[in-house]
Amino acid sequence: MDKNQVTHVSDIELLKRQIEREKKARQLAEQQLEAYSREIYLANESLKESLDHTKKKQAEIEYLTQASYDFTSELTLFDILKSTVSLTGKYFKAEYGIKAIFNRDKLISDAKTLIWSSVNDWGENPELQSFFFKNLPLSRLPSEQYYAAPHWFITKINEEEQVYGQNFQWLVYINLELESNSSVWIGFLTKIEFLDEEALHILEVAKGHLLSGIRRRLSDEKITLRNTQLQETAAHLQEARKQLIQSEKMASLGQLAAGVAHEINNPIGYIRSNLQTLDDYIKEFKIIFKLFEEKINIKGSLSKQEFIDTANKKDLNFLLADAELILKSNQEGVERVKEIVEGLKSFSHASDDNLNKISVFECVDNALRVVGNEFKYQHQVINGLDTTLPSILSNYGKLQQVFVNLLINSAHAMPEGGTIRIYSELHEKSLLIHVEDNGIGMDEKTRSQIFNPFFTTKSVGKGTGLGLSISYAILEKQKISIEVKSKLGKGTCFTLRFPID
Amino acid sequence: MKGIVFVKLGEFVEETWGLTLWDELLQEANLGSGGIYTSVGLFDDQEFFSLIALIVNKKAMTAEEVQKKFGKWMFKELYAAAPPRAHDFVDVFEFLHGVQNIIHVEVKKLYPDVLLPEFDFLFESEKILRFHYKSPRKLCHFCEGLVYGLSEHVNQDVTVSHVECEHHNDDRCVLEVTKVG
Repeated sequence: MDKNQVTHVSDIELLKRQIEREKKARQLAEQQLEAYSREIYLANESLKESLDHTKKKQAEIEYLTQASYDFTSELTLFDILKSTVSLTGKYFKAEYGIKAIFNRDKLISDAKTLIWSSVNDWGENPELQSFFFKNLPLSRLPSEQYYAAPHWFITKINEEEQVYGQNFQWLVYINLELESNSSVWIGFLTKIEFLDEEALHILEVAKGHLLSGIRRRLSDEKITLRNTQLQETAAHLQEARKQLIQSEKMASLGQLAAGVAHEINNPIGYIRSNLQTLDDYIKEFKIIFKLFEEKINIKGSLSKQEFIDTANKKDLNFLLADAELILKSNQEGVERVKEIVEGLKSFSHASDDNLNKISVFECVDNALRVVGNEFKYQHQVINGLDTTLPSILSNYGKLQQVFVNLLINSAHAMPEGGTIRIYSELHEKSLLIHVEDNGIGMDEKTRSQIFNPFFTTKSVGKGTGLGLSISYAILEKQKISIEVKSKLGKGTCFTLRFPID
Repeated sequence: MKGIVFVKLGEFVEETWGLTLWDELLQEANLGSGGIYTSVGLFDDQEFFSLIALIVNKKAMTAEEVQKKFGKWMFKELYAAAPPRAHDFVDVFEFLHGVQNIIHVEVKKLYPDVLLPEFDFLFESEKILRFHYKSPRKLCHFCEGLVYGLSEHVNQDVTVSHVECEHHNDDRCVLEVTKVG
């Protein structure tokens, strides 16, 4: 063997070893590749699985979110139940659902909203209805001894029980108490062979939400009922308040009655005596006519001198002039009575609450007429208001009642006499009317209580203690503010502030 | 260590000294893998150091020299396998920054379990870039070789010095690259 041959042989050996290494390396690489493929496959599988899982979770979340949304919405209880059944049916992949409300053992659900179908939504379906009723344990009703089912029940549907020739696998149902004696059955029919335990768990969660939704809705209904009752009570109170105002008015009218009678009696008195005088005058006129008649009958005519003599003798001119005066005085007297009666009428009239444009001057004037007799000769009333004042928005009768109250109080505050001044102050946006007396005044303690109902400083029988509180209520309702300033021994001033345009 | 390093070491030895030497190395080294390397496999670090030690013996070079030579040769191989964006660099310093931010990021995507060196840049001026080479394998000389390979590739002359070196009782390895001319 020459050297070349040796090299040749060892080269071949080397290459063989090299090839052997390369072969093994390829096998190794292929095994590695397979391992990678397997890894990728497994990773893919686990990705798919987690995608499925995520999708399922998403469906669960969507279902629970929508359900919770419904429960907290303003939907009625009926609509909540309806929505729950269709939502749950879709989530649970049920073919049919039922929502049957019972009162004791009487079905009160409308057939049209009794059966839900994944295809046709709500509709009548007597066949399925009876299928459900046959399979739900309705015999548990009536509900007196009945306890709401604490969780979902699952019943396997046997082949011989099938309806429609369909292959229903499971009936899943629950019964929830609504209010006393009434409950709702909710059930689903599904063809799914194996029920997903997790889905059942989700249904259980949704049931919890539904129950609290139902309770909330029921308590909402109770609150609404209570609210209606309160509104009715408020209306009753409003009516009572109206009557109270009227009663107080009548009470003060009663107190005023003697004075008013005197006020009316005065003119009536002199009208009566005037009428007596007129009656005497008419007798005189008759005598004078008789005298004229006799003279004419005797002589056939009456001379001017004879007429004048007779007239003078009988004071005819005086009689005529006086009769005219008496008539005028009577007319005035009647007018006075008429005014008083009108004042009383507008005062005692139970007016409505409507606000009108009225003259505050006229209103005060009328009030003064009603209380006129409360003021004695030692009282001086200065009414500084006049017809030029802007009109105000108020209720005439009610406002008159307020002024009558204020004026009576002023009169009572000045038992020894004094001056009452009514005057105005005109501002850009308001008209102020002051009713001021220089009577006994009030201390702070009294002043702070005068608007309280039944608070009075007057002796029993002289005041109801309601005058100012009712005046306050009247003014408040008409958005007229009232303020009072008073100084013990100096007098009191009430100020009414009327808004003007 | 990734099989690619062994496969490339084989190619390097074969290209530099011939297949006979590589065959000798594998026969003498008594390797656990039997010298059967695939680029996708993972192999014991120690095999790499054993092979380097044998080259040192047979070729009367220092381990540093062998690693440096291998590193310089290796650059073009790694460059060819690097992601396209790594090919945009024309400057040594820019490329070194890109190693960390671009190339190693891509490598991690393909091999999540791979152990890569990290660079902490300590100082940079127009001419000088100093960085902390962090790797438990302590292949700072291999790294130096790579930088020379890079320098040749972008046609930019540099010198590399080991300012601090774990092989010389320092706590860490700091390489300083200086642009020449």
